[in-house]
Amino acid sequence: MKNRRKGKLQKGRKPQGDLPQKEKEKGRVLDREVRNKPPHPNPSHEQERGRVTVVWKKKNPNPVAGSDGPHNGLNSEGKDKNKGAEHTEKAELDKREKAPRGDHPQEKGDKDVEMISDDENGNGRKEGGTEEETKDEKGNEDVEGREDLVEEDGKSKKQEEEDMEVRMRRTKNRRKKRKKKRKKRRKRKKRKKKSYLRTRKTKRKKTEIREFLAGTCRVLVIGAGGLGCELLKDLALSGFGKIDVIDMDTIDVSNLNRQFLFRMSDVGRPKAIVAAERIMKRVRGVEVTPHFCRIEDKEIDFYRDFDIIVLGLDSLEARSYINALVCGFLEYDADGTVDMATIKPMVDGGTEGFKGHARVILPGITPCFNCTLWLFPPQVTYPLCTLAETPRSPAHCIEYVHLIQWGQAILRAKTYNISGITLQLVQGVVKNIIPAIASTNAIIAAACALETLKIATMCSTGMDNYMMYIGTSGLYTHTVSYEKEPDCLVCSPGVPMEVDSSVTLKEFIELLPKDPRFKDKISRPSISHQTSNLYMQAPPVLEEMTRPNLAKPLKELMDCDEKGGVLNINDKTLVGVLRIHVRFVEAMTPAEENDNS
Amino acid sequence: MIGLFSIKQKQKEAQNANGKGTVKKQTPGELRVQKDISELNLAKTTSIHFPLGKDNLLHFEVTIKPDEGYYKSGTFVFSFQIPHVYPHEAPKVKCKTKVYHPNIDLEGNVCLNILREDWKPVLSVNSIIYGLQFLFLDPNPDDPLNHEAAEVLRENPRQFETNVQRSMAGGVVGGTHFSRCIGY
Repeated sequence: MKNRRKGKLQKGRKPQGDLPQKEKEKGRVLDREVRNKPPHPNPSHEQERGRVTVVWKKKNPNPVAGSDGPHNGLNSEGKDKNKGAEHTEKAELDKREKAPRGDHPQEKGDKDVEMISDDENGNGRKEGGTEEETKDEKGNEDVEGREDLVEEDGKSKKQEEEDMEVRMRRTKNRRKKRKKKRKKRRKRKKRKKKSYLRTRKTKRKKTEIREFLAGTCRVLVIGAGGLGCELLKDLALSGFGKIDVIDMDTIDVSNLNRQFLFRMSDVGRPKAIVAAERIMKRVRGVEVTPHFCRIEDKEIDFYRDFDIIVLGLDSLEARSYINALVCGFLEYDADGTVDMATIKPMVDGGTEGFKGHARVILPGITPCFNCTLWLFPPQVTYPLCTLAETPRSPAHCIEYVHLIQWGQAILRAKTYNISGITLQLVQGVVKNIIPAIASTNAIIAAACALETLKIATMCSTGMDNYMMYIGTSGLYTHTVSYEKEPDCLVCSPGVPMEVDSSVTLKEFIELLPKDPRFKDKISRPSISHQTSNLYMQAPPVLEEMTRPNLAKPLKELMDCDEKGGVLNINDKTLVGVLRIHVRFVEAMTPAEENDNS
Repeated sequence: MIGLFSIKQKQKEAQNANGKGTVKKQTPGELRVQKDISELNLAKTTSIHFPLGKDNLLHFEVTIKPDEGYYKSGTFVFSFQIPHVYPHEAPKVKCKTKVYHPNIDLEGNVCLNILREDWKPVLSVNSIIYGLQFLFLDPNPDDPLNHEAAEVLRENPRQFETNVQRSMAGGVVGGTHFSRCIGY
């Protein structure tokens, strides 16, 4: 008990570091006294403290010192000082012993009331001290130990202890109340200060951001499934006002446990449309535009219109598609730096059971999806012969039907006159369905929504750039900064190269090995641009097909604007595909040169 | 970011004014298969052709004419379908010619380890073609897809050889009719 008190006291002393060391040593009464005084509302707090010290000094010769601890009174060190106290205590003790038991609480209660007025705690402690002293003195004085007295004493001790506790609780409560009051006052002061600081400028900025989020910033959420529902909700409630959502799926009964925007009555309806309806119903002022189609069905320009794209997808293919598309928007300056205005930030989320990831992709700056394709685990496949002849696991049986007897599904449908066995349906049925966990979705979506908000408002540094989450044992997250693949096929700028705009493909191919940068790297290059193969060295079939291109001017083949474009170069001696960013330069013909001179 | 967005807005408008078209790019899968194909090292026994033209390399056909082994002088056509996420996923290969072979079933499914469980992104179209050639040179009866053929090969290689010859000549083996694939 004592120790605990001491601890508390020491804590309480902190704000009074300005007291002289001597006074600190002398007693904790002072601390307590100050603490128990209601904080003074006026700023002359120091003054008050000073006054208290004075009060204490006056009181010092009095028995208050006993509060230093029950045993101090008996210790040799404090003896001289506390002799007086000892005496009074003894006197009090005698009195109490004489008085009937029942009187004690009453008496103490009275004292308590009295004490509040000046320094209750000190007295309280003193009281406690005396009690224990009582015991000590008993041991000393009544060595013979009259039994009845001892008994009585035991009882009274108990009572006294109880009383002590009650008192302590009271004082504690009082302290707490005062503390609270003090805190409140401080807060009020702070608030006042803050309101002074808040100028018109910050206010205007705030509304500007809000307006931007609600009206200007357009966000595209791809996927309205488990992650999509959470994302839409989070984004709408974060203040985003213009949200588009694209999803090709319809609602299935099995979705309802986690895709909370959908109800039983929505089963069979398009996810995107229902999700948009629900969000607009629940969040005022949000405009959600649904698109019920495949991501490939949309024009590329559709994606260009958005400021941020948030992905809540479940497949590698879809992610790759969007990634390539968004990286395709990138434009580079002559020195190969990204044109910042062409960067379309993406936030990608993915969950699988208890695991998930959230990442921020700033194409051209942070690694794109293709740079870190190795992050994905290899597909689980089984040898076909095992499936056919020696299946050993249930997965083998399912895969067998899926792969080998698939043709029979169509036959069967035909014999029963059922139509509609489409690839899409089969994929839906046989697709590798992983247990989806609602809270994983919620956590990942929350991270994604937060990053989206950060990107849009720049209110904080964004995530850099990949956060993984594992919820199987505890809640483990780890954020890693992955690095961009310098010659990523999707997001790298390509080696810049200036080329005369009249050059033919054949001339260009001859030019390449002469360039010191490609020396020993290119000997027989095959060249492609965008989706067309301009020239293939092998196999002979393709070489023959592309041979006519050799005589054509490169600029014509590239069919691009004046600036140039990216050519993909393949060569046996190259490890990967080389990207060359060709820039056309208008060469002056000899005639023109003459004119100029 | 707000500032950046507004710059973007302006650019977009400028772009629209220019009427610049959008650019469709090759997927990483296309680029990779393009590399694979340009580096193809085909043996005399194999040939490749592209039914969809020079710009679509994701689908092509490979013809194999073994010059030794059980299947000597037969002609077998395989169709290759390259997924968009190639080489993360293996190409899908089917045999278009009906063949009596322990590792190729009558629907044309091919049991070749590197096509499924042992596929790795470092492998290429070339390695698959080699694998297919190997299948014709050395059919593997221990890991069969066509159970009957495997059994015959295991029990009686002579019988298997005659069966193969009959099937390639357009005969009937084990109640199944095979179309002629010899002498092209």
